[in-house]
Amino acid sequence: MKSNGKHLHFFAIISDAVATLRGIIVPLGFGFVWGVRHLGDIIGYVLIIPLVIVVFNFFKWLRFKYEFVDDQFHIRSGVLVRSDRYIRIQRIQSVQIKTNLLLRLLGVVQLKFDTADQASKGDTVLSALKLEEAERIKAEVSRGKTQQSATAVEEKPVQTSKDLPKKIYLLSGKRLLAASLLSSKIGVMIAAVAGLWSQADDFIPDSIQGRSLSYLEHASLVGIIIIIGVAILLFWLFSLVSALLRWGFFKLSIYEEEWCIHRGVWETSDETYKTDRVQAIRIKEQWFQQLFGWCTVYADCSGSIDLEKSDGGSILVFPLLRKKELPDFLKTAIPRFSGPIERHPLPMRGTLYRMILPAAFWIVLCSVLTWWLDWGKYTFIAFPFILAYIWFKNRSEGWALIDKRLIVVNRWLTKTTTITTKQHIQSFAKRQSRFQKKLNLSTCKTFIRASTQETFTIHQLDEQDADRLFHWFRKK
Amino acid sequence: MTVARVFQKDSNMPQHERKVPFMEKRQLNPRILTIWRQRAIMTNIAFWLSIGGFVTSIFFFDWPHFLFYIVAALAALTILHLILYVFIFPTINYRTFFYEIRQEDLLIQDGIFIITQTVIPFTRVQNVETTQGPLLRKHRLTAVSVTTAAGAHEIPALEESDALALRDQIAELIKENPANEI
Repeated sequence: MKSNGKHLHFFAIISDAVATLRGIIVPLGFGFVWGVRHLGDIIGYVLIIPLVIVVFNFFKWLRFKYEFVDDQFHIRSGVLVRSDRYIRIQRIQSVQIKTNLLLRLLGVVQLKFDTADQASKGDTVLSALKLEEAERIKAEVSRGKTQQSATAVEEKPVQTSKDLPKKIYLLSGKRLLAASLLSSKIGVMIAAVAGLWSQADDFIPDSIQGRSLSYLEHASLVGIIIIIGVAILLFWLFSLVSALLRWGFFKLSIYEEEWCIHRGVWETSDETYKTDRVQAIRIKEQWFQQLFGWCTVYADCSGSIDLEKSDGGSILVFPLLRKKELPDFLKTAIPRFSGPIERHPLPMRGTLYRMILPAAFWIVLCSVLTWWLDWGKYTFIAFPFILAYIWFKNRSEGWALIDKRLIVVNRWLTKTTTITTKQHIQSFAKRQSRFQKKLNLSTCKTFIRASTQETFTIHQLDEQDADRLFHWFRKK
Repeated sequence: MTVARVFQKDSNMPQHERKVPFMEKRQLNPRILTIWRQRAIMTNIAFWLSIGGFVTSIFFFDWPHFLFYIVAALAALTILHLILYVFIFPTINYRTFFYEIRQEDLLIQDGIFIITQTVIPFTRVQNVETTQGPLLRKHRLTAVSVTTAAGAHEIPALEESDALALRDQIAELIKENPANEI
């Protein structure tokens, strides 16, 4: 199975250059733009940077070669630090092909291997390939895998994604709209409005102090409310559209041992995940979703996954499901995590104990504000609301232990229900401070293996329950 | 020790000398106290040096004098750090820390205010690592850290021979309890 070393498609240079440029510009953000506007002389240098990047990427492209050597995939890369990677085809967990708008215009795709490594070094990306070439590699990998396992274990035929899926879940148009509507992120919106507000400050000729306050005096209250309202509406629309684009044509096909997730309108991606990589299932309910009885299903996987596409290291399994449909969904998608989802509430004294710290923090904060600012004393009005929210948040948390499954319900803004099993827990810790000991409380922490380190914490549960969990984990 | 013998009888692993007994709470080597204190003192010296640097630069560059309040606050914090980390925390931590090797898992208790007990089943252990910095080497001690797929857990100081025995023992137990991969 020896073949000559091959280059990527020529377009890789530009594609990578754009990616690098974006990587540089996005973090610097407005600072960069500001620099360009104010330091006219430097513009020349600014133009040189992309050129340097393109040249660098040209050498990178020249150096990057891949080939199949026997049962291994060999990648040669690196301009300054040269590296040779041999990936055993057996070890490749899945092959992912995806495109984005830019690549699609040229009929080029990206190919990515998932291995069991940690996320940072695990993923191996061939950033631009002709579609046929990508398909060829994919076929080669799956052929290599079948050959290998055919010689290794005769009796077990290897599952290929060519088989008919057990079930296909499609995100219908109505649901897509609902998902996009419900998922609009409130935190992002607030941040955006705050950002806009600070920007608005710049347009006001600078009086020396309290610029935003003087601005407040000039503009009418109604005007400000309208501005904020429009801003919120705009950002909400923006997040709606981005969600529509992200989740359009979402399709989850469930095979015997795999999930195929297809999604995206402009940037499509086809991802395959082996279900035995799933370490935990995470069910998230945002405020609005909870109100209407919907939820979003995520999965925490071991090995490398695409970090930018997924949410905080977990993969999105399905954007919007009725809570009623959840048991059936889990049963078909991943039977070992399915079953009743229950929740034992946490003891009342634990809730009270957990409120001491935030209460103290807010009291101090409000006092400081009162001390320094005229309107500071009004912040105390918010205080009972914050306390009430923390109270309800803590009361809605809980845990349950059903057979081999551990269910943990946590909430900050979104209610997150995590289901994992004993075999996926890497280590288990019981924590107890001296105060907690007096109150017979303790906190449990479970560590699971995922692309980023994941822990689930059950805060302030009864000590007997903590011991029960501890022993549950220890006994075989 | 008696408990240990009971367990050694029924385990059918090769009987090379096992210094670390089963099922017994084992404390750290008491010399770790000295090491912790020495480490804290070194950090403290680094703090004092940076405070000194700050003071000299206030003088040299004519920085505003209210910065001295900040310096005073920093100095107070450093003294507090000295008291806590040299006199109080090491003894508490030494008293709370223990580890216990059971048949299928390793139990570590650690903590100063918050006491944490961690269970690491041997089936989940990916590797055992011993590290030895200059201070530990001087005292002929070794730190052993046990890595799972979700992070490492450390036993900060063991007698060198104990550490090697523990390492071998864990390695043996890993072989005995083969991991159910992924």
